[in-house]
Amino acid sequence: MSRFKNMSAASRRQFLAATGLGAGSLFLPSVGGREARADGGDAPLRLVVWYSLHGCVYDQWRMRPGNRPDNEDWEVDLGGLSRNEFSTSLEPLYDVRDQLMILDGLSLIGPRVDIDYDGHPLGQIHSLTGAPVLPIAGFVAGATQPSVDQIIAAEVSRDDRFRSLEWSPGNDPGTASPIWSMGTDRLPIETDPNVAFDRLFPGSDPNQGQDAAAVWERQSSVLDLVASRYDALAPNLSGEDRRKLELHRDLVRDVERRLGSLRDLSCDVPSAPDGQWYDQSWEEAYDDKYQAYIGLVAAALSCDLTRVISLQMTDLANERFGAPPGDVHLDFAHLIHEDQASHDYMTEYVRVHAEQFRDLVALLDSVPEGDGTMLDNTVVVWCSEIGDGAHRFSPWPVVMAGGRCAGFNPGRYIHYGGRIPGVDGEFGGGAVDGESHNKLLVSLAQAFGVQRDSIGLSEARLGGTTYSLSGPLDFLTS
Amino acid sequence: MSRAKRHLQSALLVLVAVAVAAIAPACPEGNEDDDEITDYGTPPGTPLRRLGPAEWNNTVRDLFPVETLSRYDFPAEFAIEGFENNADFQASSALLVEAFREASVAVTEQALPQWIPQCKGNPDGTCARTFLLEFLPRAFRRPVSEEELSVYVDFWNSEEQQTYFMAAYHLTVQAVLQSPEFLFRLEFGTERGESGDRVRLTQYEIATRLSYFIWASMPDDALFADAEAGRLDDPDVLADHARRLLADDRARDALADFHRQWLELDDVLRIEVDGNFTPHWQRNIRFPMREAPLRWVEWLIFDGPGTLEALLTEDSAFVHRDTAGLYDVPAPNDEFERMTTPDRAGILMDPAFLAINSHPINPSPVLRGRFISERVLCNIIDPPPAGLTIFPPRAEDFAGQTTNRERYERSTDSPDCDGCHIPLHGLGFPLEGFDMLGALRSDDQGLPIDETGEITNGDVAGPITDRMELVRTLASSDQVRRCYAKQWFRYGWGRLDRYADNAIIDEVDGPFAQAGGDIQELLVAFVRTEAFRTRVVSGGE
Repeated sequence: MSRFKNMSAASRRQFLAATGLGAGSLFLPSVGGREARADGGDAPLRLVVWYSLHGCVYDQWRMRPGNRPDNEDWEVDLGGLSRNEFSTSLEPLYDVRDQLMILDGLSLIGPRVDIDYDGHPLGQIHSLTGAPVLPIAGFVAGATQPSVDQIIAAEVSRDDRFRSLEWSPGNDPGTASPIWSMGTDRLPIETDPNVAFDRLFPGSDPNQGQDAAAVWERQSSVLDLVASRYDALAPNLSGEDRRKLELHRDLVRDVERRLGSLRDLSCDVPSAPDGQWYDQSWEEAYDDKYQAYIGLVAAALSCDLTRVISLQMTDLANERFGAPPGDVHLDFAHLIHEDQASHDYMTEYVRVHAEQFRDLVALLDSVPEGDGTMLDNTVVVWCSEIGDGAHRFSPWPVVMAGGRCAGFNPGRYIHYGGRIPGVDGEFGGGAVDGESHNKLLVSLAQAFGVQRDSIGLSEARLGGTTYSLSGPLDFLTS
Repeated sequence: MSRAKRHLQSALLVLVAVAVAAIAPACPEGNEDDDEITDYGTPPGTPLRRLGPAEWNNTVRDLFPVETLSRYDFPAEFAIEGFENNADFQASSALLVEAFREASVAVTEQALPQWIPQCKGNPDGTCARTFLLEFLPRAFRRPVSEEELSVYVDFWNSEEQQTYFMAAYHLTVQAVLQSPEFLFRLEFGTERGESGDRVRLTQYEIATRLSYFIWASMPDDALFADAEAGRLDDPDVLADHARRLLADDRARDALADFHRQWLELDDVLRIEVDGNFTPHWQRNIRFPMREAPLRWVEWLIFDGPGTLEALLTEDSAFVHRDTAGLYDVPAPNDEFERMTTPDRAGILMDPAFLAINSHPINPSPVLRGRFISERVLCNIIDPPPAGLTIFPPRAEDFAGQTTNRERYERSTDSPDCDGCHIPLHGLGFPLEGFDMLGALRSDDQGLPIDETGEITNGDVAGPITDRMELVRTLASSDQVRRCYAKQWFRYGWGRLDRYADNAIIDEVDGPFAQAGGDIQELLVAFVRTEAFRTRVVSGGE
C-alpha cells in the first residue's frame, strides 16, 4: 500500500504476487536434516531484536528445574525438560526449546547509577545502548550512545541494502523506540506492513503509464542530483545544521545505492501482505500485522535486504490477554506485586508475547539455509525496557534464539547467580542480584565481529564498590 | 507524546506508600514571570528546520496548481511537549528520506499530467529553462541564481536525451522536491546586527517564516511580490500580510492542527474504556471524538468569538451523531453539528481532552490537573520519584462507598505527596463532573460530586467552587495568557522555549491582551516582533 492516499497500489501488489512465489510463500517449506546445523552455507549473520514492554512477572517467567538455587550459576538443557517444567509465561516456547537460550539473572545496572527518573524511559535507553541517558532540564531527552543493534549494523550491513529496519505492529510510533542511530538519533518505526513491503520490494507497475515506468528507471539519476545539492549546500552551514544536511545527504546516497541494488535483486519476491487493516482499530489489526511482519522478516533476511531488524511490540489489546478494560501500564503492570489479578493478567501478557515470539522463531527455523536453517544464521533476542511492570531493573528477562553460526549454543536455560548485589528497596523491590546486561550487549556485538570489550558503560560504582560491566557474558558460547 | 508515554512520565498517580526517603519534588514554585526583568539573556541559536508531514503536503498543494492532489502519509514525527515540529529532534532517517523520495514520485505522477508546461513542443529547446525559471523560485521560496537554474536545466536536458520530455519533466520536479532548498527552511540572513549574535533574515526568508507560521505552507504570490519589493522589514506590512493570510482558508487547518498538537488529541485514538461503567463507549467513537474539537477550534477562531477566553469558556461543541450521548443531546442529522452545551464550556471540557486524561474506569484529576498545570499555566510538575508503585486508586481498596475524589485525596494524603498532588488535584477536581469519557455525570456511584478545587499559585491563585469557575478563572489569568503564547512560540519557532525567550513572550503579551485575547491577533503580534525577522547565530542556552 502506497502511503499516497487514494493512489492505487492494488495493481502493483497483484503484479508482485504474480511474479513471486504466490500467496503463503513467505512461509517457506521446512527442511529436513535439522541436525546438520553447523554449516550455515554462505548466508550472512543477522540480528533480530524483539522488544516487548513491561518485562515479565518473574515468578511466572523463571524456571527452577530440580529446585536449583537462586544464588549460583547453573544451566539446564532445555531439551531435557518436559512441557510441565516450563514456566507459565514461557510454556509456549516449549516447541522451539532446542533453539533457545533463556537468560535468567541479568540486571540493568546502568539505570541504577543514572539520573533519578521514571524507569521506562531510562530503560528504553539503557536496555540496548547500555549507556547513560541524555538529560535536558531534568527530563530524558535522548541517548548518549547508539544502541547495540546499530553498532552491529554498522559492522555487518551491506552499503547497498538497508542498514536496519525498525517495525512495529502497534500504532503508537515513535514514543518508545529503543533504537538509537550511530548519531544517537532515535530511529522512527514503520507501523504498516504494506508500506514496509513496498520499501523492501520497490518496483514498477507494468500496468502504469509510460511516464511512471520511465521515471522508475531513472530514479538513481534523480538521487544523484539530489545528493550533490546537499553536498553543495552543507559547507555553507555549521554545527548541528550542517550535521543535519550531511546526514540527509548520506541517507540519500544510501537510497541511491539501494535502489540500484534492489532493482537487480535476484530473489523471489514474496506476495505482499494482504492484511485489510486500514479500516480496523489497532486492536483488531495487531495480530494480522504481526504475522505479516514476521513474514517480512523472513523475506528480508532471505533476500539479504538487511541484516538487522527490530520488531517492537506495543501494549497488547486487553482482550488479547484476558484482562478487563484498563491501562496495561498503570492498572496492571504496576500492580503485579500487590494485586493477584494484575499479576495473572501480566503473566498472560508475557505468555501471549511468548506465543508470538515462538511464531517468529519457528518461521525462521523453517527456512532452509545451507545445511541448516535461517535461524542458525540469525541471532534473535527478546528483551524489554525493564525487569518487570513495577519498574524493577533486576532480574531483566531475556530469551535468545538461534545464532548457532554466530557461535551461540542454544537449547539451554542459563542462570546467573550472585554477581552484582542488589539493594533492598531500590526501585521498589527487594534486593535482587544480577549480572550486568552490558555484558550481553558485548557478547552480541562480538558475535558479529565488533571488536569491542564494552558497550555503553564499562563499569559502575554501587554501594562503594566498583563493578566491571565489560567483557562478554559467560556461558553463551560454551 | 502518546497516552502511554504520558502515563509513563506523568506525575499522575497515587503514590502508594513505600519508603520514600528524602523526596523533595520540584513542584510549582510560583509565577516565573517578573515584570521588573527585561534582560533575559541570549536565546539559543535558531535551529535549521525541515518541512514536517503537514507542511510538506500543504506546500505541495500550493506549489502545483492542479485540481486534485492526495496527501502523502509520512512516518510520524517525534512530538516534544506535544509539538511535532521541534527542530532539535528532526534528524533525518532512512525511513524518512525514502518517504520523501516516494512522495515526490507519487505527487509528480498525480500532479504533472494535470499541469503540462505550455512550452511543451516548442521547437527551440528552451522549454525546460522556461518552466524552471518560474517553478524553481517558488519551490525554493526565493530567487535562484543562474548557476542553480542551470543545474536543473542541464539535468532536465540530459534526462530528456535519455528518455523524453514528460519523463524528464517528472524527474526534474522530483529532484527539486527532494532538494535541501525545498525540504529545509534555510535561513542564511543578510547582515549581522549590532550585537553580533543575530542576523537579519532576507526578505524571502521572512516571507517563508510568515507563511509557515500561519499556513504551514509556502508563501503566495503577494508575499513573494512584497519580498521582491523589499517591504517585509516593516512590521506593519508584515502584520497586514499576517491578517491577510489568516483570512485565507489555508490558515484554518493550520491553526486547528496547532491545537491538535498542543492538546495531543491523537491520543484519544488509543483510549480504552470499560464499557461496564459507561453506556457510551465503543471504539468507533474515538475518531469523531478526535475530530470534534478540531472543528470547534476552527469555528471558534475563524467564525466565532476568536479569543483565548472563548477557547476556555465558550459553551458549544461539534456533536457527532455517534458522540451525542456524551453530551446528552439528541443525535444530529448531519455527521457533525454545532450545538450549545450549557453544562460545559471550553476546550478543557471537551470529551477528547477529558477522556485522554482519564483511566479506563475513572476520570483522573491528576492527569487533568497535570495538563492544565503544564500546558495551560506553564507550571511544570516533576514526575513521581522513581521506585514508587503508582496506580489509580480503586474503589475496592477503600472501605465503604467513596467517590473518585475521595480516593485520590486519601491515597495521596501524606507530606511526601502534597507538594505535587495538592496543586494537581486543585486543578483536576473541578472537572470531576465528567466521567472517563468526558460525559457529564450527576453523581459518582450515587454519591454527590464535589467540584471544589484550588489554583495554588500564580496570578489567579485561590479557591475554585466548580468547573465553570475554574475555566472562567483560568480565562482571566495573565499567566494563562502568557502560557498560551508560549505554546505558540514552541510551535512557531520549532523548539522548546528557554528563559531568554521570555523577551518575545513579553513583547507579544501586551498586544495580545489589548486585543482582548484574540488568537489571530496573538499571531500577528508574533509576526511583528524583531525576533521574527532575525536569526540567532551564536546563541546561549
